[in-house]
Amino acid sequence: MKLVMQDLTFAYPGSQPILRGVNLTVVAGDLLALVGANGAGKSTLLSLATGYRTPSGGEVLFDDLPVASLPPQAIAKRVACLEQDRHTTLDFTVREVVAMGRIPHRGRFARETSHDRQSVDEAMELTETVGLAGRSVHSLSGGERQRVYLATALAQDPEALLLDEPTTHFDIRYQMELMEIIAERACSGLAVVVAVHDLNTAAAYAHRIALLQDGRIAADGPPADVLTETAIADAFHARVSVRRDPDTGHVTVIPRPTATGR
Amino acid sequence: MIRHRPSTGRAMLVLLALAVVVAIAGVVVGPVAIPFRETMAAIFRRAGSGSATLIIQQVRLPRVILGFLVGGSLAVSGTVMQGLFRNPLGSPYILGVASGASAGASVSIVAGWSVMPWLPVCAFIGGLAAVAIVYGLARGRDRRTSIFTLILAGVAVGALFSAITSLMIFLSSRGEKIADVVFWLMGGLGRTGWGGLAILAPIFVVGTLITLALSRDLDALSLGEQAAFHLGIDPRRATRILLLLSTLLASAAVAMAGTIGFVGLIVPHVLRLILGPNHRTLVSASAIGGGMFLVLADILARTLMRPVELPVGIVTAFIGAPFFLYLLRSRGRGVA
Repeated sequence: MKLVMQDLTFAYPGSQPILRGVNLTVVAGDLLALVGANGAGKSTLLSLATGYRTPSGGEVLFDDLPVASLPPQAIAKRVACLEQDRHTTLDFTVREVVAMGRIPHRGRFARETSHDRQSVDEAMELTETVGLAGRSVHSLSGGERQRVYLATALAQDPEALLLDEPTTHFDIRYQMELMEIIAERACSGLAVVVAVHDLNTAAAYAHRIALLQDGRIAADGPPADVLTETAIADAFHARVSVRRDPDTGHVTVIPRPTATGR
Repeated sequence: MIRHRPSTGRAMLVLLALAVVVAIAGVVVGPVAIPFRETMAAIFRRAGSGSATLIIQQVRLPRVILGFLVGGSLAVSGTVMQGLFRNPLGSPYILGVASGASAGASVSIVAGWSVMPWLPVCAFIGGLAAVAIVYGLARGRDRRTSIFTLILAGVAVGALFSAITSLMIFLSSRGEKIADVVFWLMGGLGRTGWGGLAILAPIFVVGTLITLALSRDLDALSLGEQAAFHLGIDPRRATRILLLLSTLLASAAVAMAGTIGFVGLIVPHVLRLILGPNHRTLVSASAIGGGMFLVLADILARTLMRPVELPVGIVTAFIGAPFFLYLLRSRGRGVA
């Protein structure tokens, strides 16, 4: 799978353009972290990549096939996307929710095939949600629920996985649990794009980081090349120190307070 | 909390068996006592001339079938509305079908067009017109339709059409016309013969089948529009088709039987509490359960105050509301 975003521009009705020519390519095995300030257009870019929104200029290609020419079902067979804050008002069981990942592969009146069942079971094993199968999604903790929705996306058997801030509301343990699963999927050949706020999470797990700023990709490369003190000051208007962790070799971003109580 | 739900197949078998019992009861019970054997014979005989045979074939049988069709249509329509609006208070009437149909019916009665084909036709047109106006108003300049605007527009247009109905009642000088309008507003199954069934039956069958084909779209839409798209569904197209189906089912039902309340609100709800939210199960169960509930209510309406026949809408509310509250309390898990 090669997912190419070519010169994408987009503006919400009645507002200034939010994307002004984004070029980004993700291939199988990539784990790309998309970072940028609040409102920089990360979510918008992901929604263009899946064809949910239509760009005002440029195009998105899956293996040279324009997304705009594909019906939603054909897209969902190849690309799974977990948008921000997914939730359901209905009292579905965990297994019922994960099984919705099979919708793009099933006929309207078709029963669940053994292949469907296998995909659902595998997705639940990968996300360690097997033990929750019969529970109501409403009874789960936030972290458990997020793993269930990730399982839904994995049950789609996608070639590319796009995640919009999957870890934002969670404590460090849940963040790591989720990122470990995602990193493992990238290793086994999925093309993964994950929009994240936490630069340290991005630096620790991503193979590549793309920095979205002023409607364009301002930098795209290995974490150590993209996350520099000047780049962060430019994109986020934040004063930070960037250090290399001697144990892991990953760069870490540390806030530099201008005023402290101590 | 682990969900314990009956399996779909078993639940449907139980529902079907109950429906058959209710259907037979609906034909057997009535003001004129007809022996059971004679009743059964009349059902399966082609055409007879005895008064018992006539009562069964021309009065009770069409009435029971009408009950199943109207109740089923309302319940399927309510299931769709509750699913689409992600709100347990959704009902087939939420977009103004009932007030539109009432306005159409009262115009036709007051204008003196209450002969058979005209009243349901006017009601049907009124119902569709109301929803068309609501939908047109709620459609923004960017051609997106917000669920919230739809509900608000439904309330406003509903009020407008109710005013037309009130105006008709006020303008009609003759008391019997007022009685006619009021009786229609309360709803009843006693008016349509076989002719009405021939129109409603295909709408019910086709409407329910297409809704079943879209049941997984309803499941996915409960996760939100964008999530549904990511699961391979075109959310706007699915919403449009489902709204149209639901409106057609409700308009046709109301045109034949007046504005019977509560069936479309409560039956899907109760079935969801028992069977879970999976729409494939829920739509099929509503198609049967809605009719069963309405025919049961109609049996009570015919017998409770014999020889006077109560409007069935009063009965649906009297048995529906307490049963619903009981279920709500005993499950103790809120309305979702």
